[in-house]
Amino acid sequence: MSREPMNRRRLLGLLAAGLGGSLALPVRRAAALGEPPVGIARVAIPDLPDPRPGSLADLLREVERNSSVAPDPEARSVEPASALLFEQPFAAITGDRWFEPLPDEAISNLRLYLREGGFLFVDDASGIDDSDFDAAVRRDLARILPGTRLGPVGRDHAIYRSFFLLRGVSGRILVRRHLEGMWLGDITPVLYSRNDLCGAWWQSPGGEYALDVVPGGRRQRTEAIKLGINLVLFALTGNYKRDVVHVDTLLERMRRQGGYAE
Amino acid sequence: MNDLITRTEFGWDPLVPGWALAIAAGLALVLLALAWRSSGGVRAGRRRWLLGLRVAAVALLGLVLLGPERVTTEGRRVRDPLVVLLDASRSMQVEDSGGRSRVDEVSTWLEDQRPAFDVLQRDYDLRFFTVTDRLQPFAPGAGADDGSSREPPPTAPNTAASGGGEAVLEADGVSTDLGQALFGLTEALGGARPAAVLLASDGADRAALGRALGSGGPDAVSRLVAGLPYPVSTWAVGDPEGPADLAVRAVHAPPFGFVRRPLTLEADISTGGLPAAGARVLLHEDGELVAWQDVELGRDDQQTVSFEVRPDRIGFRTYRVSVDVPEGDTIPSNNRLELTTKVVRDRTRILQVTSRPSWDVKFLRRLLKTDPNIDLVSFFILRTGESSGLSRREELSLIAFPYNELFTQDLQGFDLVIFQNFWFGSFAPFSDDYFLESIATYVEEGGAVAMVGGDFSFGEAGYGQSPLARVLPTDVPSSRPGEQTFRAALTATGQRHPVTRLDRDPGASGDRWQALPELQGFNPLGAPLPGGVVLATAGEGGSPLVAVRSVGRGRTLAFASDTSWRWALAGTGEPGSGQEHAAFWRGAVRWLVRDAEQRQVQLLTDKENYRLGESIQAQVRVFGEDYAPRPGAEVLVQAWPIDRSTDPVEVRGITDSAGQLSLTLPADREGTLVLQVDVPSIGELWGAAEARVSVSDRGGELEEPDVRLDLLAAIAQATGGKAFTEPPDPGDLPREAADSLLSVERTAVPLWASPWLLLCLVLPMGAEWIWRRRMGLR
Repeated sequence: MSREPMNRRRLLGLLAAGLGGSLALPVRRAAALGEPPVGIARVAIPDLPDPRPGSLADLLREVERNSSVAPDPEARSVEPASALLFEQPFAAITGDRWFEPLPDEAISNLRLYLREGGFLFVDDASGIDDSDFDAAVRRDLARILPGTRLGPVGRDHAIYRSFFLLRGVSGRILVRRHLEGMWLGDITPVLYSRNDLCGAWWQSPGGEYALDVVPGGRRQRTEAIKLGINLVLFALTGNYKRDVVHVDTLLERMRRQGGYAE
Repeated sequence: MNDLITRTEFGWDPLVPGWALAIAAGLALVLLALAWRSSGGVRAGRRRWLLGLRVAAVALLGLVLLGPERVTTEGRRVRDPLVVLLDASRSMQVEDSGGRSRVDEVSTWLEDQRPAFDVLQRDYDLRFFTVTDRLQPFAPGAGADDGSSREPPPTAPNTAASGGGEAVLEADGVSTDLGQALFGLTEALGGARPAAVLLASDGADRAALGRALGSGGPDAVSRLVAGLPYPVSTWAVGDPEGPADLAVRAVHAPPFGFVRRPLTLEADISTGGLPAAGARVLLHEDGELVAWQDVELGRDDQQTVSFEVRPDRIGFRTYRVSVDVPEGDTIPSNNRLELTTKVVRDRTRILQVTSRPSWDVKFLRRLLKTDPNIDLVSFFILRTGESSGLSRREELSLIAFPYNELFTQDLQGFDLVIFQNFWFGSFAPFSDDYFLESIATYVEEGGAVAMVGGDFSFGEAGYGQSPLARVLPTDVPSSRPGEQTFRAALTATGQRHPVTRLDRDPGASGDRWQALPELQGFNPLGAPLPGGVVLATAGEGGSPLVAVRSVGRGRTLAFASDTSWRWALAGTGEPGSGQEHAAFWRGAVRWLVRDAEQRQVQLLTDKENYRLGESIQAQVRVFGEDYAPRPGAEVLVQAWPIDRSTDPVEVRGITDSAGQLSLTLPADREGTLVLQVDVPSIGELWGAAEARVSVSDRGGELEEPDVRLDLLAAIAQATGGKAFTEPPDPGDLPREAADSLLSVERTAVPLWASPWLLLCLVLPMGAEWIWRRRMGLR
């Protein structure tokens, strides 16, 4: 890396760059030191096949294309009762059907995982309001974090501003107009989508989107991808965008866009 | 002169109480009146004779009742004391006696008057005392006595003759109490009454006599001292016009300040009796000049000068405000004033910056964000120019990274800056030298930086060739990162260093390190720089993994991997097993910001600034390994001037059942005192504590050092002495007779029991009775 002496002209350049923003110029591609970069591990549950295989990797490629995050788009799977779960800070449960209650060992493992900093994303791919998958998920989430309930995620939640400024939820099909979450203090270790987000991200080997979005339109899919990217950034940064240094700027920008006011 | 002599005197010892004598006198008058009346028919000449005889009888009877006696005293003749009282209080330091201090003038006078004292010595017992808030015998030429000896000190001439030295009189008394000195003199002389007293003083008395002068004028003073049974002459030392003085009258500051936050100090500068002039007011922090201001002062003027400082670390800071001593300034000692302020931390302010969100970033932020004692400001570069993007920039939640403000003007507001896989080049096309220089300076001036590894860190970002390299703990080579998995291995220093000590027990700490999950990938680091210490390596004997350094007034830490998050989550097999990540990073932050809570010993004083003569109340609190109060701990407290100009005063003690030890130390010297407590049974790192206090004379005698002629004159006038305004000749002192008898044996012989006296009483009574009978009277 070359080092140049500072002079007045250069300082003015710095100041101008500082005012203009910090996100402008590419320097080099990202790489981690030795560890596999950021990935998402699908929780392997017996009799619950992945209805959108490869969709999580498709999302991570979008993350790589849009952000500074260095993702690992390799498909990963982890047993819920396994110690390997703790190697993956971001886990996902995706499905479209009923599954049997998870064994107690898996439940306690997931409970410890969430309390120690793990993040769990749940996506209902069934596309119906009263799905068997939803019932099974609610049953086991209540066992994983007893005393806390799934509740709607407000529009002021960091998930809607962790990278993109979003006005609401999206997915392959809009079953619910909001996400649901579970809280441990100020932390939201569980987010639950009923709108088949994975279906909106899912691409065929040829690079085409595998499923149409309902009711349709490019914007719906784009918003679903944005929400997916926000999910990854939220898992990485938590409530970062709720920090005071961000709030005023973002609120003003949202107002200009006719977005939300808190 | 020591031979026994006898002296005979007559006295009275009444046989009946005073009230009985009064009744007897009344009865005698009645008897005389009756006798006069009963002799009404007698010729006038005889009548007077009769009355005369009866009067003589009654008078003799009264004489008997009064108990005349002859007193014989046998003893030695001694010289009466003649006392010289020398004011040794601080106001006598004022240099308004012809360019000399008042005390110097008195010392010179003592020397000059040796011949006169020699003459007086022949007839009087010449005694010298210093006067402050108490009387102390003084031997000119030998310094002040400690008061422990009651033996009469040698007199000035004798001492001078034998010792040959000059009189040594030090004006270091905190206050003056002339009344106590005058009324306590007889006791100090062992009951002897002095024949004369000379008081050499400026009269700057703020005790009873001074207050009486203020409230009631010289008459009030006269009334108070009128009962003194000996003449007191006074010599008013100093310039009656008042001293010319430029002074730092006071320094105002909050009782405590916050580290790295502005702290305002206000200094009152006053001048009197000096020509108008400019003055430079200097501010030193712990001996180092940190600011100054120039002020223009009128002839009699007072101005307040304000300084703003930013103490760079917690603990104690001593600020000294001073002005140069101008020509003619009679009180140089009050041209500087020290003040100690305690610097505390409100909350630890940490700036965390990263070029790429990662799990390592997430877990460190999660830990710091949930600590109620930490204010965390994070800035993550979420998007680079390489990112192609779905959206227009307005649809992103990104804000401009205010690096210019953060790394220049706002930097001082942070206690710790964490570069977590952060490189300017990841988002900006220009040289970062300007900002890295600013950050290096921030460290050298007391800040702290932690650099955490990653592909944008250490050698990968070229930090080895940057201005930051000079403050990092180790060399930073440009070698390729290691990608293998490894287990962190503690060095010998790391086993006991607070950063890497996961348990107070070094053995247990080592076991916990052994059980930590493996890390993956590391940035190669080189040899430690001067002051740098490697605490852990990437595998046994591997590249430094954790290194720390105290550099300048700040501290730095290098953590050469980006997978410490695995200690938080990947190591979680059971509840609590992921606590090592928190333990390590909390310890690192505490060490970096010099958190006093790591100590098991605390030293508290009731305040930081004392007036001269007060007592410093200090309390030592000792805690055990579990931070419960620790009774029975041996404690050593040392106190010394901050400039270490004298040996420390040592106090030893043992903590009570509450783990505390209370101490009282005298604030008997102006300046700043460092108190250091050591508990040998606790390790060096946690077993010591320090406090600091400043002692000043502000509010003391030097605040009102004017010569009080009227007070001294009132004393002389009320006691029959003389009031001198020039150095007196001791031979001119009004004094009483130059000898007295010291009683050895006293004998009293009653005279009323003599037969002759009874005969004298019976004769007139009998003659009067017989004569009355012959005249036919009753």
